[in-house]
Amino acid sequence: MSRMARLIDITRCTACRGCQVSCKRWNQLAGEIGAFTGSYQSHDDLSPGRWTMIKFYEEKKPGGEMAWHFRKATCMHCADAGCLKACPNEALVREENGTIRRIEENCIGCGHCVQFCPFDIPKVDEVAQKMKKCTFCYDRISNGREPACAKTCVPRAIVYGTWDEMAALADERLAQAQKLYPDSRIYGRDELGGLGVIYILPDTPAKYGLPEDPSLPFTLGLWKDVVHPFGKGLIGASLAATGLAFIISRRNAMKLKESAKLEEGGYDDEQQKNG
Amino acid sequence: MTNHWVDFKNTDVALICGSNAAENHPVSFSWLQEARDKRGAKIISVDPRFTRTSARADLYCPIRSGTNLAFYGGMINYILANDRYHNEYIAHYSNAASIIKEGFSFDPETGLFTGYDEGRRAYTDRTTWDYERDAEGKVRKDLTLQHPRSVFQLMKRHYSRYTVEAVAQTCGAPVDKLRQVYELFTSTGQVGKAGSIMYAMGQTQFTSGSQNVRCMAIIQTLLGNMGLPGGGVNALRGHSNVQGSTDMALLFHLLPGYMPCPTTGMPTLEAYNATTPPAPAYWSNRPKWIASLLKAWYGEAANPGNDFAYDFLPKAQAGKNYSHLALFENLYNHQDLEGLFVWGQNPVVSGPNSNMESKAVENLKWLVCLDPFENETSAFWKRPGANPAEIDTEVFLLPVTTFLEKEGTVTHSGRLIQYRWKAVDGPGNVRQESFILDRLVKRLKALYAGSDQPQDAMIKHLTWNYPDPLRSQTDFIDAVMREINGRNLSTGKLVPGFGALQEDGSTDCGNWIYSGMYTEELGNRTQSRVLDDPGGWGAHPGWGFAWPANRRIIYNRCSADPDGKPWSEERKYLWWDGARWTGYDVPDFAPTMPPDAPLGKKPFIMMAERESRVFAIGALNDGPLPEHYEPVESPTHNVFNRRQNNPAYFTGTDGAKSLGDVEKFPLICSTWRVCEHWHTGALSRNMPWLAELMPESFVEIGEDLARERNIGNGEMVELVSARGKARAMAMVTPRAHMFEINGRNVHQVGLTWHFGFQGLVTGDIANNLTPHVGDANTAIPEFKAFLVDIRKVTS
Ligand code: SF4
Ligand code: SF4
Ligand code: SF4
Repeated sequence: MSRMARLIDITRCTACRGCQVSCKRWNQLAGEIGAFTGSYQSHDDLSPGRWTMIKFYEEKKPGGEMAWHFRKATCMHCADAGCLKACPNEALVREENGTIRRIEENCIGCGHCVQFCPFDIPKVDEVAQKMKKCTFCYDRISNGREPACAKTCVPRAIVYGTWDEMAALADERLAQAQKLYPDSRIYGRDELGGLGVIYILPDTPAKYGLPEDPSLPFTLGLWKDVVHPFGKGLIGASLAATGLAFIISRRNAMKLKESAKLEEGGYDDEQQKNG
Repeated sequence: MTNHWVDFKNTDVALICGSNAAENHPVSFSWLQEARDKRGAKIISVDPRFTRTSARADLYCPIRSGTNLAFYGGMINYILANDRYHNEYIAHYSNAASIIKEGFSFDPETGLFTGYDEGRRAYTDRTTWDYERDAEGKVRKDLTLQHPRSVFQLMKRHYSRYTVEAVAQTCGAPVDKLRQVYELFTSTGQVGKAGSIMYAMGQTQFTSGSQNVRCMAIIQTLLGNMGLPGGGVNALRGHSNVQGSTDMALLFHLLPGYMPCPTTGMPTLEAYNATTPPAPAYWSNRPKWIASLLKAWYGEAANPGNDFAYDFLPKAQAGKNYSHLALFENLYNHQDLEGLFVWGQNPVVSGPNSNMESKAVENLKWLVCLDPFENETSAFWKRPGANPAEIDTEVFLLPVTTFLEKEGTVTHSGRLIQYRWKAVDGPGNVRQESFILDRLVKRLKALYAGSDQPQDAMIKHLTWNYPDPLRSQTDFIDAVMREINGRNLSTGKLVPGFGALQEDGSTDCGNWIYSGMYTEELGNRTQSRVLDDPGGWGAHPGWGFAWPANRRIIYNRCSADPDGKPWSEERKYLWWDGARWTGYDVPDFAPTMPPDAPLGKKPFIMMAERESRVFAIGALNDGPLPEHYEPVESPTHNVFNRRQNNPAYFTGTDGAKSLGDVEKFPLICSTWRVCEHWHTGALSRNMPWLAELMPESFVEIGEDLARERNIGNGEMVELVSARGKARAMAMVTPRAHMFEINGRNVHQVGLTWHFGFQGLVTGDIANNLTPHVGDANTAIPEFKAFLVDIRKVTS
């Protein structure tokens, strides 16, 4: 099967948030009723039970004109996936169709992937001790159906197809987008070896909370290339010496961070970072 | 809508004013996007605040709430003063060339047209709002449009006061933006171009709401945008089936199919029929439709000898208002009402001046609510501040299915009737409303079966011989739909359409405009799902059934020139082929009437003059030409004439008693919806996935006001009006504006009205704030523009 991708054209998104609901419905994730965030945005960030959401970006231009854009945040299913490289337990695999799929049994919820995702996507469910993120609707797409979020999108801001098709469609959409938003650009086609999500952005990535030039840290390469090649059986000593210690300390730090969050009222109540 | 949803893809310019289409009608945007991709269409958003629609528009122009009419008046002036109109179109298809009687006038000093009676607050003499006629009674015309009393010249004079500068002062809009909007939209007056106006409650819920709608009709006529793909006046209706509910006359002043409700002034069928518009108005067939309706309702008991049981119909007292406003005022004042059935409504949240209306509900002896949830209306007795011990109302809550758990048809804004099948069974013992109605009618009929009181005859003789819905809801609906479609009573066969209906009692028909939806030849056409699209205009004639007669675009004769040729090749839709009208839609015209026949160039077939009435002959309560008046609560004075408010707006008995002024309530406020919630929130606030998206009621306020009042983003504020208070969270945003109005800065705020005290997420009822006054013609409440003050909640 060829690599599949989603084109997310921000210049067409009307922030209906059908995709946000549709993802929860297909994946049967519970509603998470939080407090008012001060914006139309429902929550501060993704959570273990919220794998996609619309982030709102409001901007008053120097001339007084308003711009208001909406970015669907979701796992990019990167070609060069930091999460997968970082995972010490083979809980993440790349499927032939490009899905970076998580293997439930293998995931120990260590959160190492969190650290190395350039887009801050994976979230760890502290109770279940599992990382959770968008599955690219692997169950749907491997059965010939489009992802739930793409299916629900009325103005076709989310389109699903082969990576090559989406990469080509991006040019067409860019030409359309530039008529309304002259600074529009394509994001994700060249970044990190090509993301599984190609965005049409109305302006610079930084305006929509995306890194201008996403990259994976050098240390990740080290981890992967130096430590990992020993293989699982042989890893013992060196892992104990370097990796495992790191994971454990990292996990403890995470735990602290998470429990602090919960005391504040949890993910849902995180307030007003968005504009 | 004159056009339909898919048709938005055919537009060159979409003017979205009084609607937040992207948020509240998301599907419209898939078609607008297509228009943009394929035709390079432009989208204009005119709105008091910058919305998700504005975010996706090519051009945004802010106007303060309550000034649509000034905005449109400016557009009409722009069209007339800059020759942007479609000359040939208006000369033939509208009454612009007609000459109005001597004596008709409008006086900006008084703000009144001729014929007003100040004591009765009404235009009691509308004789001058009429055409001048020749000796044979024919309307006098001047096709050159030069006669000083021609409608065209009268309009030109009337709207000359609506200069861009004056409009900008009143609306608080930037002059350059306003001019850009006028320039862009009126560019669709060119042959080959089409512009669509999309509106919703942001046009109608005002004391001059009907006149706002008339403005749109006038503009679209002047630009030649009626009756062709990509044009039209398009109401985006607020429920999936609100079009169906008005078609079936769930309104106080109508019978099904927009026939008037009988009044005490029409005691006999003859008197009722005497109010029928004269030929050649297609409405002149009305006696056939009322006879067929009465046959459908009363069967054997309706015959030519007894006026088809016309006596059975309740008569409204002539001159009495039965609108929502009047009903709740009566209830509040312990008049007329003892019990109330509430179906598919939640008036405690959706009615204006909710404090008053929920207090009124306390005066009921009994209340029956049908709803999937216990909403604020059925729970009114335990609302915050109420004392259940003091409320004697007996409340019955009948749980009903949601839209996925029932079957039947819905009619959407494009007049398209579509059958929907049940997806799943509802939980427990819930039933769909038509089942409950069936049981209610049967119970009533049993109760009155033995009565020989004349007033009970209407119940005794009501025909009700449908299959039992308990055995098969499908069969029950099928029988009802056959009756609505109409039958030939001698053959028992379904009629093919309303053309076959008769005045002599030989046919029955529950709603003439729906006739043709279920025929012997084609079966139940609302179930038809053929995707073919001849012409590529998105008419899809085989998909469902669009009333009337499966026409997708009404007035479509206008898409051809007077001689029957398409105005342009680009917009070829319907044309005369030498023998008949042909094209991609069902002609809204006699199919074989040639263009050179006496009426062959007259497309508006419902009217006696068969023309678009840019000047409304005698029809409206507040004038034949739209004129700007300020909302009843306004921060400024009317600059267009010396009368502040609409001279005939509906005050009821109490509405005008609880109005505030700008000294005490300095902010303009409006109420609006969000994509994530559904109306009063009874469904969506009980649905966790939706509730999480918008968990609290919020008010959008501008940065300047927030600074002035020291209000921070996300803080709780309280709004107060002359009617009441409502708390909400502050959303401080540059998308909300301060307007410069007549030289003074005024802030506008606005809040969602989806919240109430029941459900998973709750909040104060926004309608605690809104005034109990309404439109001069329809009495729709002025929900969209009123005055408030705001304060930060510190305790
Ligand atoms: S469904 Fe499409 S339009 Fe709606 S919020 Fe998601 S991406 Fe945007
Ligand atoms: S976006 Fe993050 S979580 Fe998703 S594949 Fe890329 S690195 Fe992994
Ligand atoms: S692809 Fe599936 S899992 Fe991922 S965001 Fe879309 S709906 Fe959710």
